[in-house]
Parts: sequence; structure tokens; C-alpha cells
Amino acid sequence: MAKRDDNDISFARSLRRLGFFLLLMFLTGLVLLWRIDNPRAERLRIAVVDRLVPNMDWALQPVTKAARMVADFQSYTQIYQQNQDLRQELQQMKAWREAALQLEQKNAKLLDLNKVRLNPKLSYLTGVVLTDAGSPFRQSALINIGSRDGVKDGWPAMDGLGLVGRISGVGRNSSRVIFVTDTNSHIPVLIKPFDQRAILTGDNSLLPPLDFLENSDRVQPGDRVVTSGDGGVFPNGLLIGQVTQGANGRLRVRLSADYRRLEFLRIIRFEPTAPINNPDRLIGPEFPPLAGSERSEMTPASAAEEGVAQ
Amino acid sequence: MKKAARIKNLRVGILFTAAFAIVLFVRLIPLDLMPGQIAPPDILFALMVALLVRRPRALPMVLVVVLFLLNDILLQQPLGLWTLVVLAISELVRNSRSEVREMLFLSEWIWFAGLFGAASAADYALRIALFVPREPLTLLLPMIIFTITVYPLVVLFLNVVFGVQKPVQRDFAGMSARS
Repeated sequence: MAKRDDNDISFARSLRRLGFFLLLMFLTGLVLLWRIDNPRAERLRIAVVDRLVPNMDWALQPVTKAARMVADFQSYTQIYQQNQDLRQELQQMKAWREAALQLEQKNAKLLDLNKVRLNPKLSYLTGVVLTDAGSPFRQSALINIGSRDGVKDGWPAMDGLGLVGRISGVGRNSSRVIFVTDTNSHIPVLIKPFDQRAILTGDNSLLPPLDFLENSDRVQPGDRVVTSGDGGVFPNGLLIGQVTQGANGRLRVRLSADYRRLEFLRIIRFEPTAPINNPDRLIGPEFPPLAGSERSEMTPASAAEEGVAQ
Repeated sequence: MKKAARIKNLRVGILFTAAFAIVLFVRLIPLDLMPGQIAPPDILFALMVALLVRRPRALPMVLVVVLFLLNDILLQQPLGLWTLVVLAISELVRNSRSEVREMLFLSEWIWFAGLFGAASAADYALRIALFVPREPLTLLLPMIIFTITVYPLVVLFLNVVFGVQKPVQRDFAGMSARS
């Protein structure tokens, strides 16, 4: 009897050992798959997350809301001070609004005089933030719109004001937004007013540094930073933030997006313009055959371009 | 007696899964999306080790792998890397549990510090070997220290909520009948 027990125990033990090695092999295979065929493994991950997280929405939303309410309640203690500050700010904003309206009208008039055609307005989708990355090592969030709503990889995400990040990974009902602050994020930017080009690289802080700056003498703290549209990932002219100077004199960007209260994200619909492949098309796109009446409306400049193209 | 132990094991296993789910859930709530915070301690690892020392039968290998794989998937970690390390460590703990049970709590704590340090180092080394982007050490080292610090709390939690204590070792035969 005791002998049989011993046999059973050793049998169970070797079965366990076999199971351990099988699991070890499986996990090693998974790591290697993730390393070698990363897009496929990430699609696997997105499929699992897409199945799991939107179903947890009923639990996530109330808890998130409740915690936000507690945070809001804490801010009531300084409500008087905040009110005063806001009034003051509003007064300044009114002056700016008046100036902006006048400038807009003037701008519209000038554009009309010059017959300039600007890029069409960008349209957007809005999604709710479901979860964050769960660890401070990754800067990303999951939002509740996905391929079902037409979201595509690479589209920029903004809060009301500034760029937040871009879509990286789209599931059916959810998609992931990698933030500008993530260490994997590199964005070509343009620093106004002198149009200096640089790359904005995330470093896990709210003040990401500017790399590969053309000429740092022509950049000053306070200058506006927008996307340059180089590389065709982002449209140009999306606001990112303002230049500031870091502790060791390095130029960094103070992001305009308010990461403290990201609840809704705007996903900008963006189809990059067709690349120009043939050198002779650098002058402009191939025009359809023009009727005489349209030709008379053309400005001298575009007529000259047309002539060169032919 | 044996049936009672089995039911207790099942109960502890379910409690562990629930605790795991709650920790994961709390970490995923998008309360603060600001970068550059302090990394939270790895409570899941501490809980697993403490439970493995005290009641290994409650935590089958497959459960460990499934839960930690879920953790990897949801937290955007390299798929399966940390799970691989955790599986190896869990087997190590299972095999050396009888020595750890004889230790006083202070030496168990030091043993845990060494174990978690080794696990983190192994993870870091594997990331270097596979050319995976590594976590910055300025965030990683505080996280390791933080995790080691919360280990006594985790053991206390295990004691109070799970009702799991270190088995008192009277004799060798008694130990094999238990757990």
C-alpha cells in the first residue's frame, strides 16, 4: 500500500515537472513570437484587450467618476481663490477674443484677395478614455472607439487644445493612444515664428525635450511648437505646446494638453496627401483638361506654373 | 481532514484570483494620466511568493501563468517575459518552501528581497538580450525597494483576509499530510 503511494507521488511529481517544462516552452515561444513577429503578437494582445476591457466598462466608469468627484470635492476648499483667478483670466480672454475676431476677418479678406486655398478643415471623432497603461513605464490610454468607428492607426489624438498622442493599435471596439510623453514617441515639430524644425522625443516627463534642433539661437522660451507634418504621420499645424528651458539649459516643451484631466480625446481624421514620385510632378498635380472659362479665372502665378509643367 | 484542506485550498485560490483582479483593475483606472509618477509596488508578485511559501497547493502552476499573462497583456508589457520569470521563480519557491518556513520572519523578509531583486535583474537581463526597450532605472529601483517594503503588509493581509498562516512544523510526517 505504502509502496503504491510512493509510486503515485513520484508519478505526480514527474507529471508536474513535464507540465512545468511545457509551460516554460510555451512562454519562451510567446516571448520569441512577440520579439520576432511583433505586429502579429500585438494584434493578439489587442484582440484580448478588445474582448475584455469594453466589457468592464460598467465597473470602470462608476469607480473613475467617483474618484474624480472626490478629487473635485477637495478643490472646493480653494473655490473662492479659483473664482477670483478665473474672473481675472476671463477679462483677459475677452480682450484676446476681440483681437482674434478682428484678425480672423482681416485674414479672410486677405486670403480672398490672394485667392489662396488652404487645407480643408480636419474633422474628428471623440472617444472616452477607458483605462490608462496601468504602469508609469508606459504612457498610453485605451479609448472606446475602434475600427467599428473607422479609427485608423497613426491618427493624431488631441484634447480640446493640444496634441496628446497618436493611435497605435486598433481593435474593433477600442484603440490605444500612445502619448507624446512615452519614450517611444518621436514627433517632427516646427517651432514658430522662425519655423525651426526639431524632433520632440518623449522621456516620461511632462516636459519632453527637443532633439535635432536646427538652430537653437532662433528658438526662445515661450515660442509656440506645432507639428510640422514631416514624414506624413501627422497633419501640420497641430498645437503641441510652448518652448521652455530645462534645468540644465536644454530646450523642452511645455505641453498644452492637460494630462491631469484627460477624459475625452479627439481623434483627428487624417489621410496623408499622395506622395510626389515623378520629378516633373513636383510643380503640381496633373490638371484635368481645362475649359476656357475656367482658364480665365486662373491667377497669373498658377498659369505660369501650368506653363512650366507643360 | 483531507477534504477540508482541499476546500480551503480552493477558497484561497479563488481569493487570490479575486485579489489579483482587483489590483489589476485599480491599476487600470485612468485617474491620473500624468507621466513621471512613482511606480507602484509589485503587490502581485509579493502576494504570490507569500502564498506559495504558506500554501503552495492553493496556487497551481497554470493559475500563476494565466494570471500573470493577463497582467502582461493588459499592462502593455512584453508578452510573456515577466510571466516566464515569475514561473521560474514560483517553481524555485515551491522547492525551497520548507527551508523558508523554518526561518524567522525577518530572515524571510531578507530572502524575499533577494528573490525579488533576482527576478527584476533576470527580467532586465532578458530585456537587454532581446533588445526590448527597458524601463528607466530611476523608476525601476524605487519600485523594487517599495515592493520589498510592502512585503510584511502583504503577509499580514494574507493572514487576516485569507486566513493563511505558516504551518507550524512539528515533525516531517505531519508536514506532508498537511497542505
